[in-house]
Amino acid sequence: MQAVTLSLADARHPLYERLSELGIPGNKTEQYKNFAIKPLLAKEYAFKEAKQVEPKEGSRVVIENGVVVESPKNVKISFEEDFKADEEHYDALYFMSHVLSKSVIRLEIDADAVVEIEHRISEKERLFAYRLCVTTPPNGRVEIMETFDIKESQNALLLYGVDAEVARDATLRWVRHENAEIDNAVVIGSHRYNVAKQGAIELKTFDFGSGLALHLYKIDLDNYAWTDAQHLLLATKEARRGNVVHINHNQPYAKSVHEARAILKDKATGIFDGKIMVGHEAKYSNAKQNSKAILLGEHAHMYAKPQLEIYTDELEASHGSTIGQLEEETLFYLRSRGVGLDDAKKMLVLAFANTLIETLGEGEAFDKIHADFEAAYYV
Amino acid sequence: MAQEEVDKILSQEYKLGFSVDIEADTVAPGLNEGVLRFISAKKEEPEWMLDLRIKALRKWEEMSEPHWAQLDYTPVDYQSVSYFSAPKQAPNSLDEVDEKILEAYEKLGIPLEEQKMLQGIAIDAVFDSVSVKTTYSKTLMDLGIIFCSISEAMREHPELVKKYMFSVVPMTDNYFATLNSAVFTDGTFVYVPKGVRCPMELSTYFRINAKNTGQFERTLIIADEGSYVSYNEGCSAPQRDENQLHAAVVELIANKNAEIKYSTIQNWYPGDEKGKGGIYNFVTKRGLCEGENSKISWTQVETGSSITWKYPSCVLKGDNSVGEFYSVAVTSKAQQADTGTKMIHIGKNTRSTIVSKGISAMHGQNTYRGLVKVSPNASGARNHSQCDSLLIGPNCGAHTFPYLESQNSFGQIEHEATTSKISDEQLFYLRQRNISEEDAVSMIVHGFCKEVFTQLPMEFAVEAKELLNLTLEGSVG
Amino acid sequence: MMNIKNMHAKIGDKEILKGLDLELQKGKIHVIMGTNGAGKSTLSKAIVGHYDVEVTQGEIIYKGKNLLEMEPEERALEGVFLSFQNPVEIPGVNNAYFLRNALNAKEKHHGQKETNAAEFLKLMRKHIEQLGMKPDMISRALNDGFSGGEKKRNEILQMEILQPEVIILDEIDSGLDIDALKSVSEGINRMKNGERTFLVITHYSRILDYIHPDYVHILQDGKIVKTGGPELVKILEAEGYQAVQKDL
Repeated sequence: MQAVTLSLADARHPLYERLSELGIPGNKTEQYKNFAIKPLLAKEYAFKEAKQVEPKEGSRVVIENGVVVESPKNVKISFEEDFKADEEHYDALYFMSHVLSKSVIRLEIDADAVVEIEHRISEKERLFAYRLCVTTPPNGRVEIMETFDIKESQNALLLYGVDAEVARDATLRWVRHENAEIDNAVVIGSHRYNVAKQGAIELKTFDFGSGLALHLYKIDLDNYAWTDAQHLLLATKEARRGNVVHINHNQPYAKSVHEARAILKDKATGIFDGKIMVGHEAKYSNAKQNSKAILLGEHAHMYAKPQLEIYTDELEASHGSTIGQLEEETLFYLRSRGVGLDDAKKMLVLAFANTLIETLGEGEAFDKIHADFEAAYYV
Repeated sequence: MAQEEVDKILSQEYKLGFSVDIEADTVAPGLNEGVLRFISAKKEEPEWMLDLRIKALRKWEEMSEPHWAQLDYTPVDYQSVSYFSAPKQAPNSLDEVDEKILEAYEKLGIPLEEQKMLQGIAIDAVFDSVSVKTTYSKTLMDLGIIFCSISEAMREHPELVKKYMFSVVPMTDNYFATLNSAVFTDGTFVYVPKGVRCPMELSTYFRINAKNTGQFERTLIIADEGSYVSYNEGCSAPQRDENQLHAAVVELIANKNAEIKYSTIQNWYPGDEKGKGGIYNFVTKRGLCEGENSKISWTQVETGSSITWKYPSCVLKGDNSVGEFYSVAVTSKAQQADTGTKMIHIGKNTRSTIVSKGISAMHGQNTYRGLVKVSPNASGARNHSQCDSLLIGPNCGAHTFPYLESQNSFGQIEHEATTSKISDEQLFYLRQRNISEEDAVSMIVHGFCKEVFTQLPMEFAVEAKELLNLTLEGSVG
Repeated sequence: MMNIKNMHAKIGDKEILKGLDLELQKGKIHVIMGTNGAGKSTLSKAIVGHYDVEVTQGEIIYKGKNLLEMEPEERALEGVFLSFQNPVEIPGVNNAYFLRNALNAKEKHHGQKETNAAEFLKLMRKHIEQLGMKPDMISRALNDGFSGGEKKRNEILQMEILQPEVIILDEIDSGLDIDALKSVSEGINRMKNGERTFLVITHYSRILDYIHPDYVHILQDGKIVKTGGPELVKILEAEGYQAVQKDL
């Protein structure tokens, strides 16, 4: 990663300090421990900063190789050079992607809008680094559907991330739908969601396929702020993917419901590293965390780390985590009714996944994700 | 109930905070090869042991103290610790034991005398750095059970020590274990031969008495095929202004069909409200279920120490072997505990159970840290973990950091955790039924810990309850 | 025997009791009836010293002392017993262990010999049987996972074992089926001995078919607005609280 090292040394960015404090992540870095980050960062990539152009009008936001090429009417795009990033973030790559991005792509979105953001990577063996910033209008509701088109991107690495500000009383629903195969670019997203008083973030992520991807989130909750975070992971072949999510209850009456489900086939590795921190000030908090994983492949591998860090006694908190397989008894029941073993398995896996897919509600997103899940399951 | 009152109840004075004035042989503070030679000579050790100690010291000098735990403390100056202290007169029998030592044990409520023997408990008492007295060894010897100090074992049973020491916790396993390997002074050795069920509880009391002394004991328990032993460990230390260091290593080996039950009541001096004084407790405890159908069960009640860093673990190597970890950890005042367990499933159909109860009060910080790992060959492995935290007051902390890892599609891991507080409603209900605030708090806390207390041997369960009362209510002597 | 004088009390910022006067007669059964929000539960909480209630004015004279100056457990030790409307669950605390401690505390307070474990178990078994409770009540944790009916019977069990002098029953009949209501009422009737005083707080007159009150008080807007005999219940039943109010 020589190119990167060079540009880091050149940078006089204030965030550079935090980056050097945290250090370039290696195999011992807690969040990356099971992701095998070291070889990915050690590789040589070609890197050049993206030159932004005037995007043409389209039905969605398209970011192609770091350049915003398309944007719909209800989104105002601007590029911010001195963006104030969150200096408290725990992830080194959050700072690295900030340092590497000359400017942050700011999306100003009208209230009650539904916006699709597509990441398109079409060059191989390159490093792409960019950041998005999304602000919701106060009281408004914004829905984002984030997708990835990275089919022709062998040996590329995408370091990106979102800084989202959810205004007071506003709701942001962020759906990330990421299908990736082993020969696609590796995606590492490092995000921060800051939720103001009585605001809400609904984070729903759907990761399918055999690719390598890791997303690291930091969610900060103010008074009465609320988060509902759900992750569905279907990892196949030699995939290594998952989510690291730190939710901070900073003020009273914050609430979080965090649920992760993983289905691991073949030799795939799934990662769930969740931490809910309830600060001393965050009395009357409510925190629930749950992680369930089903290992289908004989060599599949799950790492789960559901953590609670609590500094006050006035709260309700619980977490649970299981790693196991489909229930023998249920499988048997289905088979005794004439359903073949494979179909029975599929039926149960779908049921397991559907609990999360169904929270999308009926519509295009539901249909697409549902279909994708089935397709990925059958690979 | 007013918070001050709860705090008052919780911050009862440390009952065992007395020091006994005994003439002691203490080596000057500092750590170097000379000190190792001194210890080794004092203990009349064989040459091979000294070589191992020196090897460990060299390795330790290259290592650095780990800081991944959720602990915050002033760093230890390893050169200002004295690594050996022994009562001047080395006692051989109970009659020769310094009266003041016996008195000290009596104050601890641990009479070495007959009544304890009548209860059928064999005791090894480690006072500062040496084993003072091992009772009952004759009776045990008749059954072929060896129960003696580790120094004695090195002289009398070198083949067993050589074979098993460092086999579960390698000499340079971690920073504190390596330090222990270099400077360990005494500890207990137990060997239970094939097919023998040890008829009595074996017990060791560790006490740090001399000032600025570290205590580094090493315990090695081997249960040969089809045998059973239940071992209890108790700890206490006097009240001091400076933090004292304790870094022990415990190794357990259970062969085929054997079972070891290891119970600890840890009540080292916890320090004051500001964290001043108190014991730094950095302990490495690990059991190996070597043979099939073997079982190792850890039960611990941790109420003392200002810093606790301790993860009694089980390596479940034999097929169908079982590991258990039952823990109560109380942190009050400014105590910090980072404790938990590791269950490493290697053999087929291995099972493990984890029940952890953390109680935090005042400014106490209580962390459960655990690892459950199901290795690729451990088909049919099962784990269930239950980690509950009880918070008393707004300034304490309770943290749960479980780490679950499965590499086998026929393994099953389940983890559950809850966080609760003593509600005003519960306290009021009990008070409306004649029960005082103090008693109500202790009643609820005991209820919370019940699952763990029932795992303790009877004599120990009573002691644990009393200890908890001591920490949590006003029955100060 | 217990005299409540001009009591004002609030919960949070809201004044609930507004100058309540009530005198309980030794050995008698007093019933307090009133609509929701009239202050019935606040009254019972104030008598036992519940942390929710702040008494701002007035006094409760009991055995020559002002009850309001005593800690909750002191009031209990002096024989004031509240059967809670919703008894709290206390996981892990064994029902028998708890109750023996409660009994021993009272015995100690009165300088009596403390009942030992064996005697106590015998006593508890007898009462459990009488109340038609399941034998596992001895080993279960206090109210933990109990059904509504089990909780209410457990309150009566405690009452029978602790033998208090003033018994406050807060909505003891709510949520009980007819069998449970019967056995609970029998328990209460067993406690009647001409010495013991009862304060029955209820919303419905259903339980009054089983326990026969000496006095009936109507509580409205934080005050006792009417006191009478059992006949008051009949009027209430026939004409409702409106009628009583009109009467004023």
